[in-house]
Amino acid sequence: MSHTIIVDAVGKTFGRTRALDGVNLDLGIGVTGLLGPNGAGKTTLLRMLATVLAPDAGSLRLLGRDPADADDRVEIRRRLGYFPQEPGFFRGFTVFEFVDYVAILKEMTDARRRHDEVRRVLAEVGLDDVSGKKIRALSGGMRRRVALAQSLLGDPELLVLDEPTVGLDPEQRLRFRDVVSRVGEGRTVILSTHQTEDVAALCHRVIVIDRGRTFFDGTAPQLAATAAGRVWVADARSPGAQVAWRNGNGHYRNIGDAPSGAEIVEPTIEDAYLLLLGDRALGAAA
Amino acid sequence: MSPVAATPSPVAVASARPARAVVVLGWREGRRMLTGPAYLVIVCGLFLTNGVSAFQPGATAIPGRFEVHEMLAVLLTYGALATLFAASLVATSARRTGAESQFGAVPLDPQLRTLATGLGVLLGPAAVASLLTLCLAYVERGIGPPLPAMLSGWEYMQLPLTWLGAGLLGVAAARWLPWPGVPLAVLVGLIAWTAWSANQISGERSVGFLMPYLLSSQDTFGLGTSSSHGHLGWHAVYLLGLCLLALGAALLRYRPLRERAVLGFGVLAALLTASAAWLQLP
Repeated sequence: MSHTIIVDAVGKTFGRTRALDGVNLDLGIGVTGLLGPNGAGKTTLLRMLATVLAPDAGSLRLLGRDPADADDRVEIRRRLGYFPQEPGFFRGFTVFEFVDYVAILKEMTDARRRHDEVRRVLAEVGLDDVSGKKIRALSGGMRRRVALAQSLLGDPELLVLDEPTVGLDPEQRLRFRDVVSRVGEGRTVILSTHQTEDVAALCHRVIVIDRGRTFFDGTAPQLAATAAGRVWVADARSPGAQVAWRNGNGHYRNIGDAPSGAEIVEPTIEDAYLLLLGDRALGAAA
Repeated sequence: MSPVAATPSPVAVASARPARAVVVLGWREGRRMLTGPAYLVIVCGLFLTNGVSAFQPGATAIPGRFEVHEMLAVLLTYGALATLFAASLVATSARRTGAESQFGAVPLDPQLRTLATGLGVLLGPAAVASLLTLCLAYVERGIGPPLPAMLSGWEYMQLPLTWLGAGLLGVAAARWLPWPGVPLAVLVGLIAWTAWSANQISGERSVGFLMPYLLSSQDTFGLGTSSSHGHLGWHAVYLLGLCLLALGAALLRYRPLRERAVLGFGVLAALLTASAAWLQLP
């Protein structure tokens, strides 16, 4: 199986902050979720995979090429789609104009075919009926769909999505999952998210990262299984629980070392994530 | 929101031809400059302030040849100022709006995008200036008897070059000094250099010929920048050299990308500029 992404002992430092510290990854076709609290290094890693940032240590191979080489980097970018964490826009542009502009930057020079491609990606994300609207008139969620649309231009083999579902309502999130699951067939998609439900719904593989290091790398069921026997419900918050919260039916869901006789329940990915990262994950869950 | 539906299979449309993409982007950037707010405000302002004279007592309702000539001359003389701001606004738009975050992973790197913006100055404002210059020449020479104060061929050539140079200077400044207020500072610097040069020329000091703006034989542009001794054709080439130097400076911002080509271009531009600066002297 050819590996789309090979990350070998990659490190990155910003000032005195070690954002990534010896990260190793080996990803192929499919959808991979990148979970981690704020400041974990997710965006730094994704920017490297998008060839926007170079590592200080280690090496990368993307789509069989070395992004450190200028010519290889251009070739990678011709087969890459990137959704940044905070996408900005020319707000005076219409939706169509902006995506068309990005299409030119992706070397789509034939106007007719380029416009067809723009219409295709806008239809893909459900923005075909607002393509003539100014971006400044759109809601935050719709603007993120514009950013998703531009990342899909040219049918990229590698799709790097940095927190793409932030600000999306449930319907939009469902559409996003549909888009990503279809795009993920036969392609490599890596997305970062705080939403464990997105990971559970979309990702065949999950990587948990914190403080620049990988804490877990496996499938979503494997991640959930790490919390087996360590999640229980009770009428009150248990003293021994690492994390506990009151759910909708008035019971407390506790995570940690279960006392004897506790009512153990099936763990979710979120339970496992919280257990894995402890207080650091709570900062993101709060 | 339209329902999720099966979409047709995508067609690979990328051409992997950056040169063609630069040209297509250049056209797009030129259009943005011409329709940008700074350009429209300043150009309309020039038209209005100059057009006020048409409403003076004794003026006819329809501008005649003289009024049209005056408007064109003023527009062409000062329109470069608008080009500097328009080009700078377009060149900084990705950074100011945060759109740069989405452009970081595209095949067209920042240096090629800068080249496209420079091309946009040529295809947009400079092309418009060339058309206006042709109109000016037609008004001066093609309708009725020649006007008393007419530009020479070399002076016509200088007009669109000032628009091109101001625009490319705006792009270079945007790349090297991406801070608010820089275009205004560049403009003030340009005016100060021109005024100082005019002073040198009137004092018959040759260094004044290094002025970065219009030079005529009879102060035809009304800037106080005239000399009956210098070679106006070479001054036009000198202005072209300054344009190329500004473009080279903008591209050099992204060393070491294409370093040899950009430095080579810069050296040629410098040689052209220096030669023309020398040859224009009386």
